[in-house]
Amino acid sequence: MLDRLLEILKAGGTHRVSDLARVLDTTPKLVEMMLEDLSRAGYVKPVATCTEACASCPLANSCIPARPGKAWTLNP
Amino acid sequence: MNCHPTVQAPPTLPAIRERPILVALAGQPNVGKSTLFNLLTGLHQHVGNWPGKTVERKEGYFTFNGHSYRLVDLPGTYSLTAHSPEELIAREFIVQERPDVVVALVDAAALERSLYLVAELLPLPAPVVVALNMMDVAQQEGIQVEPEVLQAALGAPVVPMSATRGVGVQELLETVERMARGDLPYTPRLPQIRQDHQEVLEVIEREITGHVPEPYPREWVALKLLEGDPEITRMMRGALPPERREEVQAILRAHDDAQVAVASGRYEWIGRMVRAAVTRPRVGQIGLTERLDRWATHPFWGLVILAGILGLVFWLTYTVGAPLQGLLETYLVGTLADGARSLLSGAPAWLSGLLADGIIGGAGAVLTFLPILVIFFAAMAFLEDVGYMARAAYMMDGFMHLIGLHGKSFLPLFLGFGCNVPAILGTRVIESRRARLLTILLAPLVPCTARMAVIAFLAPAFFGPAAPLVAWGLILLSMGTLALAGIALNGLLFRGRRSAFIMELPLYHLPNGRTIGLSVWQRTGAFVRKAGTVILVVSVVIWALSVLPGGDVEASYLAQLGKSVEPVGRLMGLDWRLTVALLSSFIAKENSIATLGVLFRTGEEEGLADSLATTYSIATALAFMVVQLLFIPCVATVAAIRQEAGSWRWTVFSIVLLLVISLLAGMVAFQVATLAGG
Repeated sequence: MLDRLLEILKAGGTHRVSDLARVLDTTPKLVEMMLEDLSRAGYVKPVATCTEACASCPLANSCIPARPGKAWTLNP
Repeated sequence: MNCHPTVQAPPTLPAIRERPILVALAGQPNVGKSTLFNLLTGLHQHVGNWPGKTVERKEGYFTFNGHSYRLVDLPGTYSLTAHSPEELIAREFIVQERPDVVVALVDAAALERSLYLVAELLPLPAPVVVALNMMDVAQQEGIQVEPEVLQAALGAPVVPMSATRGVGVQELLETVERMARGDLPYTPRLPQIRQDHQEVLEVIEREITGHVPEPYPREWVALKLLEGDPEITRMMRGALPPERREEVQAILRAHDDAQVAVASGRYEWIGRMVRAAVTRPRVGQIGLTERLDRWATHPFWGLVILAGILGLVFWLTYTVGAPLQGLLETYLVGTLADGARSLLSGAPAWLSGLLADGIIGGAGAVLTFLPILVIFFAAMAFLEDVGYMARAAYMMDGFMHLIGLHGKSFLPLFLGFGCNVPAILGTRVIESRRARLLTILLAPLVPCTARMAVIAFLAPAFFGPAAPLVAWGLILLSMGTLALAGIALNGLLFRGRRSAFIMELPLYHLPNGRTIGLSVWQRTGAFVRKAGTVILVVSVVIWALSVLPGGDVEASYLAQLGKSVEPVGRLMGLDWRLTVALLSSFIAKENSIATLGVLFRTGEEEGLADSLATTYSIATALAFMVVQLLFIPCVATVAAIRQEAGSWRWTVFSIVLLLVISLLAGMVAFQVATLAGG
């Protein structure tokens, strides 16, 4: 299942955890675990949320901080 | 039930052994291990450290049905790899000490996460009893787990329980006792790896036969070698004769993807267990989120909904905010300016002009935006708080991919709707230099709140009830321009390839008034501070330039400056005053209005909006708004571009690019609107 997930990700594109769960016939929680596993193995990288990126920004108050949940991207 | 199972009933069984029955308690952190441990051992426990480690070791004793038990609480872990000392301790204990029974405590409400550990425990040389804890929590969350089905699927006993309530503990102990006596069938169904790797596994098993140190099980060692486990690899490097070692290493090198294959087998196995034993009725928050997302994140309808919501926000902002803005302009700015003039009638003319035309007319005009901004900020904060913004971001991310941008670029670009400066700074999350530069170049094309405020002021003045539609169209124009610029830059300069992007969207939930209020308060505060500082200073400077040297606006320094660049403005139907307003927006976008406020002497006879509407044609107004929206960003954004791009070359490129785009778009808008009769 992990290898199938990796194949899907290598093909590129934007994916939601719930869509991946549907394609792999499993639960979103398990997909999230697999992404964490792939992240530990260095295949994917968690994306810093804007909360972290804006921590030191003096204008943080005046922008719209999106609340995107967790996000990952494939390592090149 | 009896929580401390020191059940003193007469022993029904003969003593089956002299030493106490050794039970290891395994489970992930926060699964209720400590609760169960304390419940079973009471005061008969000892706390120390594992030999040579700083990891806490808890051990205790209890009796049940006349037999004494030694219970060892293994460190809380999610798996048994060699990633942490806790994981190593847990698996070494089971391999070396061979407990009579391992109790795997799993969370019924998060079975997937717990089962990974079980998948690793089952191949170890000790029988496993699964304690299905937190059944009550799972039920509250609408998750139904069927213990009998799970037991059949696992091939190992499963006991449902709730340690915090003391439910199921007696049944667990009875099962442990029967397992220790060998009275229970135990045929665990182990995770399997893919067929091609299965064959490799068998080859490794044959290669290491006779060389595996006691008491390690050969199959398990072979699996761990294939998985690339550093501890087992080190151990076998010492145990294998040199030629055999070379052979095994060659096999492992040829199958370096085996780590994924082994883990993959475990995930397949977990997926099967969960499919068999867990039902999650699609109700409540999760069900609602799924139903809403079917539309909100649909490739086509999602975009329609996004555009619709954006339109609704503008409609609300204008229908409620614009009349309030008009009232403030007429009664507050007008009255204050008139009051200042009559109060200072005896004072020097320059002082009255500075206060009435410069400060009140300029910075005051900008402050009248406040109702519009408060409504806009509140609408955005509401959408963010209910969880819609993440969907908007998801829809925008697909759009970003269309223009060949990295999946991460949507985050900083999205911030650009608030202010372009954090958008530029936010590009730091993008590692690729190419994607980062492209995002930096495109970010100023995202309409920030300051630009939208200017549009919010001008649109109702010229277009009346059609203002929301015009503003909405202008925003779409910005996004369209961004897409075209992205496609062009990506094709001409960067030729990049996008990589996969995965996101987990938060659940929708009811909005929280306090969160929304706080967000509106902070953003409004930032705007008022800006109006009181940068915009105030620029207003005064513009006023001074508009009255010097002789007091006649048409002959002022500002008019001379404006008239020198007016030929360019004329191509878009802009006179020198609009051209100067545009130039002053370089300091801060709102200055466009402040400058026009100063130049039109707001409050003398009619409000600024009315003065503008009677002076300029619709075509000129439209061209001005288009240029304003796409024009070179404010000085703070340019400074951020210089800092983040790390080069003057790219900074100048960005300015020239935006200048060309905005002037071209302005000319097209003016010519088309003039032809259409505007």
